[in-house]
Amino acid sequence: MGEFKLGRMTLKSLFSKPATKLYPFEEPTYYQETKGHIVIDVDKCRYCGVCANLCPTNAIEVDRKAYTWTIDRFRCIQCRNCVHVCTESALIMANEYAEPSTEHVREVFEISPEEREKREAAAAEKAAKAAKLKEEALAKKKAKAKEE
Amino acid sequence: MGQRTVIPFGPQHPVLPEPVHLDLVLEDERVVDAIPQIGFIHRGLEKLVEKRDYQRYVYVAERICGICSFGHSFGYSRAIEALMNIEVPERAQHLRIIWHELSRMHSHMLWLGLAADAFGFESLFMHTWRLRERILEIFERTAGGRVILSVCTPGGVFSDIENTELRAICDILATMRVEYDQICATFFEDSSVRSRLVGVGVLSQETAREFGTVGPFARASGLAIDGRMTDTDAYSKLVAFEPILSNDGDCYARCWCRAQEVRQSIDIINEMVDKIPQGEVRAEVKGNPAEGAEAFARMEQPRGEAFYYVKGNGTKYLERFRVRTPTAANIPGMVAAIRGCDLADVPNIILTIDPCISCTER
Amino acid sequence: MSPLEIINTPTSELLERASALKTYGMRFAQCHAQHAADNRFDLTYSFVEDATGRIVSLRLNIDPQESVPSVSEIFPCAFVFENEMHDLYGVHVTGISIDFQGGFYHVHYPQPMAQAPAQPAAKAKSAASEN
Repeated sequence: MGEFKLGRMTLKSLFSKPATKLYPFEEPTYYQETKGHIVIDVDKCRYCGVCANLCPTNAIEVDRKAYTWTIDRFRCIQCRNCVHVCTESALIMANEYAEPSTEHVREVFEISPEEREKREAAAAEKAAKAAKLKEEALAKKKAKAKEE
Repeated sequence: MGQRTVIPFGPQHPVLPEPVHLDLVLEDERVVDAIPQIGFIHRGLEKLVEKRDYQRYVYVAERICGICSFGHSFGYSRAIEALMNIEVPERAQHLRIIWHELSRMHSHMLWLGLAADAFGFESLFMHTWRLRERILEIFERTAGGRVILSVCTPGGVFSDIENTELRAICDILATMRVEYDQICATFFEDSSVRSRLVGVGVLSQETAREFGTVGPFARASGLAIDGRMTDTDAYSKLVAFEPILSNDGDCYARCWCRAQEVRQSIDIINEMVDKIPQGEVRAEVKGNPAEGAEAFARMEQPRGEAFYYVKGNGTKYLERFRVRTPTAANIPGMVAAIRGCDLADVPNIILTIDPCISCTER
Repeated sequence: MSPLEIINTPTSELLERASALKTYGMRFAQCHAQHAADNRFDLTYSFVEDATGRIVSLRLNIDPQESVPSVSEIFPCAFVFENEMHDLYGVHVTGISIDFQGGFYHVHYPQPMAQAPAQPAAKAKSAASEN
């Protein structure tokens, strides 16, 4: 029949399985590059805040004092900008899509206790050193003033 | 003298992919005049350039439109590179063109499905979109997203595609070509399709030139306008590039031009993959655009020529970003093509323009 | 990319130069408005030569209250962009072939792009000028 040109394609689709996937009952195909959701290795994070400053949608919040890194999953547009700018390579784009939810999802990642101890100790040491240097400088200044 | 009535068309209409409003002035069943109106999805994206620095703005630029998404990020990156005199590595130029031509293919297939659906040819619509899925899978495999790729940036691209992957893409396109030829044969040789499209909405070459139309709309009327002919970047490395022209200027010619462009894109991608060099894919971009520096860029998107203008002011925020999209240039031509046709042909004519109103309004 | 060709044009010569470009064979690409120094507007009319990819632009520097003649007599497709300039920036363009008189773009408040730039840009600019 001259007019039934889609005949071959129609017959093929009659006998093959559908081209669509019954998501969410079937797992979607994730590829290596698929943009799913952001995952942080929180012990590597320096809490510098660059990812938060440069996020186009302000989805990330970084609290330096409390050592927490928060992401608003609903604001994240999976642009991978934070992954590109992180100097510590602490952020990666995981492949699984973010879960749908009926509540506003803001995930807070807190640093592990061991790492927190280490950092607080290092910070305390640094503060002590700075205080010592300041004292020495002050003492030097006093001695110099006395001489004159 | 028939009676004149005014019928509103849109913004909500089953055949329109995006909201555009037309006031059709009818005399009996003939359209005498059409008055367009847009602005239903104006998002003020040009003003957003004051709040996102020039490197982050590329994520906004690619969200101007869902169908021509990569084209906008490509055009914006080009404009910034012209503004700041950044040299893009050759491999990045080739990769960008591969993604852009894939984007052109998926846009034309999407459009072909919509045009078929407008006639009621739903099975062709489904088959075309099933074929288009393979391109979206290629996007997801190489860049991570199906529609919004987030891969182009001023200075190059973020991810590389391995040469083995490129070969695999060429193989996929070769198998797609066979099915695509079947679909095109069905569409273009069908007698009912021909009777609805041939001789409808004719735009002569003179009128098309007068109204400043661009893209396949202009090429179907015989105007040899294609941004890829005069490109100074990697498109100039093609051995030969001839724009696809037709002299009829009716709806059938516009459909035919777009269908042929998909085949041309497959050839371009094959050529780019053969010629791709090894090397870096991104150049570091440091500093801010100079105060008072300006740049223009032109980009041949699936719907026509997109025109970009950027101006810097010494800070990391741009002073002005302007994008003039192809559908904005085609609206006057569309109005001219609608004049004199029957009311029943109006949806066909509008669809053969391939309107992308979200680009037009930003 | 073709070299930048921006020709500063007084408002009175706009129509004459646009006609000359049309006779030369150029196609009207777009026109847009932007903020310029001293609370003035810069209007840019861009034209493209399709055979070579050359872009030529005419630049007008106007006061926001000044009237500009429409080029839609010469280039019918300009009405889209001139209506847009009027709706978003408040530029007075006289004689547009299809004048929507403010009804082309449905915006929430009038002349949105004419508003002052957002805070971060202005702050960064003043900081940069102080350094």
